[in-house]
Amino acid sequence: MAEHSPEVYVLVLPDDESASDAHALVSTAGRVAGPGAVAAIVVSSGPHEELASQLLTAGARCVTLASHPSMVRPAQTEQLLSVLVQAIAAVCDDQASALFLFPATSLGDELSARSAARLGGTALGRCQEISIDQGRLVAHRAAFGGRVDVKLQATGTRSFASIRAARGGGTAPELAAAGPGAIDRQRVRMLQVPGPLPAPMEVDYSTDTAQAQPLESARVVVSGGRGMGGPEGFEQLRALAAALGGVVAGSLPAVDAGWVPVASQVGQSGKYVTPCVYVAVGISGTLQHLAGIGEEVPIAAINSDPEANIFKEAQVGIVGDWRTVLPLIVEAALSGRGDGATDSDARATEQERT
Amino acid sequence: MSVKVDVLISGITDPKWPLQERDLEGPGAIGPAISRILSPFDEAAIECALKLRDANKATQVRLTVACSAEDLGLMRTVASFRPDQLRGLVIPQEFFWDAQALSQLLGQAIGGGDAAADIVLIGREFGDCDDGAVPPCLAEALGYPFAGLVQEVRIGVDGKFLVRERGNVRESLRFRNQPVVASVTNAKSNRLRYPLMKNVMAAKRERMDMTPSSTEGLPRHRVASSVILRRPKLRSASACVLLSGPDAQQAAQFMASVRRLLSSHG
Repeated sequence: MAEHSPEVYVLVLPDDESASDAHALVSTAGRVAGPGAVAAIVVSSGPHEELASQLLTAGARCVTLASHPSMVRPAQTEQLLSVLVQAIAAVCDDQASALFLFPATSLGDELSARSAARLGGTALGRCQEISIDQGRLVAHRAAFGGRVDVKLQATGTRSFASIRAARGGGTAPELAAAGPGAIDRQRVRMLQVPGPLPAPMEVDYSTDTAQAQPLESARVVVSGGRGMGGPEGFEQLRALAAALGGVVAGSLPAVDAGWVPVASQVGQSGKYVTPCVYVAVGISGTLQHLAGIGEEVPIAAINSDPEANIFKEAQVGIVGDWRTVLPLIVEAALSGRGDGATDSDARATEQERT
Repeated sequence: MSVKVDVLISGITDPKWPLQERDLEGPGAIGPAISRILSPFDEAAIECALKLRDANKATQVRLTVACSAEDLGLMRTVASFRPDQLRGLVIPQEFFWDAQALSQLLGQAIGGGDAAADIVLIGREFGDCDDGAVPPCLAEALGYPFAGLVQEVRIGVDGKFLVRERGNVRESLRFRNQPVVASVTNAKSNRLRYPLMKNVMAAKRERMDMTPSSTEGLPRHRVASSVILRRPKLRSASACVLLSGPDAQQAAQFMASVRRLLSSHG
């Protein structure tokens, strides 16, 4: 059993989709370790001094920039893993209790698990919350499709977990505005790990013609589910999204059916989104889907089933056939109708669910 | 060209089956009476394997189902797809909370050496207790390279090609001579086919091979200290406002509400 609280490290992956939230991950880690107690390790093929500055401003006590001259671009997982493992060995005392936090992305999840396996640590998986109880790490996770909360305890001294960065702690531009001149050079370490690296994988890249727009930064997400019944309705969703300045997404069944790209899937096994509003059309509202929508995000729903679970989660809803109402909503969005309707107008004809 | 494909299946509790307090038998355990089905990722992995066999009749599809001794229903579902080999690997429930220990059990079960598969397919999430840690841990346990979130697999004389998407970019990964572990995610291209009715009936009569796993001496890395049924947390303090009236009026009010939400949360 660990007698002292573990050292907390944040692993930053500039080549990953999580890169823009790296500072938020430091803030999140600070809530586990305490202010100023988090060390950051950046693993990349290129220099990232500005990122180091942001991480220090976000609260990291020190930053290690780890790289290898032979890393290929775009970065490949096997090489990132090799550099990461060597960097941890160089930076961390292998006798000391430690927690390594990765971003909750597919790359972060994979590197977290594989690092744990290679370094003899504990793979805690994707955690919702991590706490330290009498020096021992406790991870809180959801399981069984979000229906069960489980508390896991690590049995070893080194633990590896991925976690979603909490909002707050400043935005990247705000932190950048603090100025690179604020860097304390003694707190930034350049580390070139010794070779050899695994040989690069043979990879052919092609750009998908059905381009998926980034969901994580979208202000509005318009999402369709099994109730859409086919790809045709997604044209309407795209029109609505365009009118609102948003992007289109889908639930797992919609992806299975090929109506939206895999990269547009929202849910426990897809993307996690935090738009200003989430419009759900033909989506029943399973826990697995809702797990991909931030808890603070308001939902506006359209579903033909008045008993659909989505209406327990939404702020406003229409019980009806999307084929009838969606074209009218798109028309209202494009023409600006609905701007003049006030809350009292809406509530005069509403009925509240109990 | 003879090809061996190992597929590891976990199953999940049927999401339509409401969990009750009595179903939680204790820390780490979920009662055996719960109806279990294939997860979307199990299905995708099975379909990828069957497609490989469709393309090359010399392909052997070997399915291993990680289960409890009572999981005959799930076994028969899998059997209806007529794999070349099928066995149930009985694993104590508490091991499902430990990705590394579970991976080592799975790795021991599918083995290596002459019997080693050319490719190991596994759903991107392995069961109810995993969110993606088991497949990469399995690759580490076997010492194989790992490809995550694969959607399509093709095997030819020029190697194994694994296709996946990363944002807007489609990647085709090529592995030549070494075995590889691929976690499979759902996509239109790997929707599981319907089994033939005659195979479904044959599976009902089939004797299932259930093998206990050897857990003695296996190091544990994490344990579930408590499992609690989650109480739904309401997103909003107020109930959902359901609109009514003529369709055009509802549409206008819906848009008004969306714009109000945007201005208050934007």
